[in-house]
Order: sequence, then C-alpha cells, then structure tokens
Amino acid sequence: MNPKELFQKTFDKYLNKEEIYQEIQKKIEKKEKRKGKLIYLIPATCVILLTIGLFISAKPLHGSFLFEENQQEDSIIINSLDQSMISLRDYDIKCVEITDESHEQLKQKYSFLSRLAIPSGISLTPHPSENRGCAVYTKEPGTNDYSKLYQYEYYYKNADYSKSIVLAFSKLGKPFRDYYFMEDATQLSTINGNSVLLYGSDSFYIAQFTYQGTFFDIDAKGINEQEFLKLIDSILQ
Amino acid sequence: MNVQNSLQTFEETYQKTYSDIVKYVICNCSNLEDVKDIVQEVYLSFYKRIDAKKDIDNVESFLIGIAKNKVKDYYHFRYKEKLLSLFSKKDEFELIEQIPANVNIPEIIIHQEQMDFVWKYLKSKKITVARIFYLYYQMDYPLKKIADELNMTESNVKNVLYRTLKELNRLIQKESEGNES
Repeated sequence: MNPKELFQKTFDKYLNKEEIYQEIQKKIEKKEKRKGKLIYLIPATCVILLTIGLFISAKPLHGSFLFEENQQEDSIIINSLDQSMISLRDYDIKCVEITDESHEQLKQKYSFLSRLAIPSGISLTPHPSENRGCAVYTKEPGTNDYSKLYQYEYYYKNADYSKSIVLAFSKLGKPFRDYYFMEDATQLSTINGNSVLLYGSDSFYIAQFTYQGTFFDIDAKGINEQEFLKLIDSILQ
Repeated sequence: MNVQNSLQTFEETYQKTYSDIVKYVICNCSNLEDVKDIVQEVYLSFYKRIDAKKDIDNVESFLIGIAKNKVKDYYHFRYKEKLLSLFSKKDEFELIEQIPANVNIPEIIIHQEQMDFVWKYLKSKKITVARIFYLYYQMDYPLKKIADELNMTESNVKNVLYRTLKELNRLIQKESEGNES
C-alpha cells in the first residue's frame, strides 16, 4: 500500500464522516427528548419558584449579594450568551510578549494586578516558559509601524488548560476582541458601586467595564460564577 | 421548521460542508484528539440555530465562524497560536542539504497496513505534522498550497513529509520485525 492509500484510510477511519454524524444525531435526539420532558416540568417549577420568591421578597435583603463584609448593594445580572451568534473580526495588530521585567513594571502601574482574586489552580505560568500575556500594538495612522501601544492582555490558565481567564485592559478604549456576540437586550450589573456588563453561558463568562480610567474586558472559561464575580470584585476595590 | 425539516436541512448541510469543516479544525486545533469533539460541537451549534428557526445568510461562512469559536473555546486564547517552527534553523538547513535531489515522496512505500499504528504515531507528533499529512494525502493539496495554508515554506513542508515518512517506515519495519521474532 502506498502512503496515500494508507493515510487516506487512516483519516477515513478515525475521522469517519458517518460515525461523527451518528454521534451528533444521538445528541440531537437526546436534546429533543429532554425538551419534551421540560414542557411538563416548567409549569410545576414555575409555581414552586414563585412561591419561594414571594416568601423571600417578604423579608428585605441587606448588604452585598456577594460578600457579607461589603456594605454596598450589588446587583448581579448575567446576560445570556448565545455562542452561536458570534461575529468575527480580524484586527491588524502586533503582540509583544510580556516579560518578567515588564510584568513587574506593569504591577507597579496597575495595582489591581497584585490583588486579583484568581481561582486556585490557575496561574500565569503553569508551565515553564509559558506566555503570560502580551502588549498589543496597532499601527500609527498613515504608517506601517506597529508602534501604538493599545492594550495589555494577561492569560491565566491551569495546567491542562481546562480553565482559563483572559484579562484585557486599555487606557485608550475598549479592548479589542476578535469575536463579538450579538444580543438583543443587555442589562447592567452593579458591583461595588460600578456598572459592569456581564455575560455568561455554560461555564463561560465575559465582563466589560470601565474603572479608574481603564477599560476592561475579561473572559473566563471553566470557572464558576462565584469565582468569576470574585475576580471582578477584586479589581473594583 | 419542524424537527424533520430541521434534520433534513442539517443532513444536507453536513454532507456538503463536512470536508471543509474538518480541514479548518485540523488546521487550527492544537491536538489531533480534539478534532472529532470540536467538529461535533460545530454541527450541534448549527443544528441549534436552524432548530430555533434563525436565518443564516451564508451557511459555509457561518459554520466556519462557529468552528473558529469552538476552537478558541477549546484552547481559549484570543489570538492565533504562533505556529512554532518544527525544527531549529540549524536543523532546517541540514535537512535541505541532506534530501537527495532525486527523492520522490510517493515512492517511499509503506508495505504494512497498520492504521492504528499510523494514527497513534500522528497523534504523538506535533499537530503541524498531522495538518500537513491531512492536507497532502486527504485533501490532495500540492506542496505550495499547503505551505500557504500553514504559513510555512514549501521546503519545510517537503522536509516534514519526507522526514516523517522515513521515520514512520522505520518504526513500522521495526514493529513488524518485533512481531515476527
């Protein structure tokens, strides 16, 4: 057998079109069955939740939604994120890795970097010589030089990359993102008296806000809502 | 659109776009093991969209968009990973010197039918190797097109093919000698 036949047979076997289709169909059928059950569960669940809601609303709530020691009223609304409604953008940028030295300088300039509440198991460099982040440059108008420093990005992750946080911030404007999501209506949250736009779905969260003249865009995967909100809270001190 | 219509549309689109989506995922993921899962996720998201009766202007672009998002979701970095050079500059130069001028890649014959072995071998190599082999053998891309697709030089692509096939041939022979003894 020549290599072409061997590799074609190998790819056909391990990335088998029909097999993958069967797997997808099974998941679709499972989803359809679950949808059917939900039709019966939803009315009953609504009645229960309404009863609980009426009971709770009879007692006024004091203090922070998040932490007992926080005296301000936080209001958390996580807008749903339909990841299929993604619009993609490509920016003409250059990324320069943040070195040990520049990281120390940035910690001096941006005090929040030293007090971030990062969930346990996650760090900037879980493996040696890991890229901790980058400084993002754009072109100066009318030139081909990527000399305009626009934003910084830090990448936090755990050892197997199942959990990750990307923290982007800029003094010049909203940080770039290479994908945007379209939502019909969004509601703002309030954390420590600051307005924050929060999105989330399936252990994937995004926060966008401005604080002390800096624009922030943070997204996180694989961490829970409490951990994500604690991270945001640690910046807004 | 009822379930049957959704499924019919889904199946037609799947048959038409499968090859392009797999190609995109292989060329952008970090691990051959993840390809099947990511491809499934792409089409499940697509099904969710058509089942929700939301219009899609350009299905192919939409699917590639989902694929891009799913790949990012898997590895969660905002910008493209740097494609690391497989070899150091020194290695690259030596390889170019060592390849005989009259070597023709298709003539390196592998006699054994050992798909499991080949798949395990491909998974153990850097993902760039799998990308090159997929594009060369499965998609029948010429070397120049593979080089453009993966942002490599043509000589690099040829080096990877030649060196990998040689190593694979040696390993397969070694294994068959081991089985015979």
